[in-house]
Amino acid sequence: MRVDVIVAVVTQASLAAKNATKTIPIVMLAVGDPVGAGLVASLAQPGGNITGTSFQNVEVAGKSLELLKNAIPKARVVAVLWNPANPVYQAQMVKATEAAARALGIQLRLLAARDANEVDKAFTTMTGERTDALVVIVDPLFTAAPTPTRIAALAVTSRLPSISAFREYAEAGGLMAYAANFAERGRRTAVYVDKILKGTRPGDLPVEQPTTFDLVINSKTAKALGLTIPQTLLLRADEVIQ
Amino acid sequence: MRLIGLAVVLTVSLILAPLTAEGQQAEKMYRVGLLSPTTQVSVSKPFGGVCGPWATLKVAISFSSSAQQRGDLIGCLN
Repeated sequence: MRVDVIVAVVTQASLAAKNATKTIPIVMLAVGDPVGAGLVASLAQPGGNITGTSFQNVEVAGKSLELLKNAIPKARVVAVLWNPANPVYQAQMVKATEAAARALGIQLRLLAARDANEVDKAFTTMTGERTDALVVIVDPLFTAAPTPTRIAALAVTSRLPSISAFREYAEAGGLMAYAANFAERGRRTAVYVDKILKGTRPGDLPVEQPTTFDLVINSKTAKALGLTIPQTLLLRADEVIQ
Repeated sequence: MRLIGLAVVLTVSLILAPLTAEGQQAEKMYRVGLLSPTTQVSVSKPFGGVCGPWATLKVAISFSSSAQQRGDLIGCLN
């Protein structure tokens, strides 16, 4: 099937599209770190046949851990749920989270999950050893329904405050989410498609980064965990789910 | 075009503003492939079938909505 433009959602798909064609314009959507993943030469001048919008997850991975630490100041051991089947992006996220953990004096416990069964096993591991909190590294495996609800429920059952970089995680019952707005990124991506179809070369369109990130806190989950979220953190939240 | 390991391609038909030539309107159709690493799910809204579950689907919908707001989107085919 010949298409005029490919919109590639997340790093994994963008890399596959880039490997597949050097002529069809590719517009990335919700990519964590386009330069680090080798998708573009630079954000300002992507070059070639690829451009689009970044989600900037990798850059803000440390911020998520910091927010979690603000919510649970006593946290020393934090589990990280990640998907090794999505190697490039996940490795970027793990590396960024590890760097933040060192600065915050947190010990990370990496728990890999390639499917829903492995998610359950990861929680068994978490509850079997000391774990104070959980970071769910955003991944299509974890964002596809009903997995977010499942992960959020397991986190509550396991008495683990948790955070992830997609706002739907907090809506699904996770304690916190810190992320760029997916819908806004999607709308911006449509503008790229429009420009390219009207003749602009993709490589001439700078990659756009999100300008705002939303902190969402689920106070119902906090209550279920017996947590009192510090007022300073609540005041920073863009949304508190009651 | 062959994309190994990634199965979902949503084809969205777009139409640019009508082109006028000698008093007649000509419509140029474009196809936009939406490539997602997740499995395919069909939904009834907003355009009778969009690929990709949940978060990915939400992006697809917002992408489509934006195009529609500018009057570009006329349909969606799986």
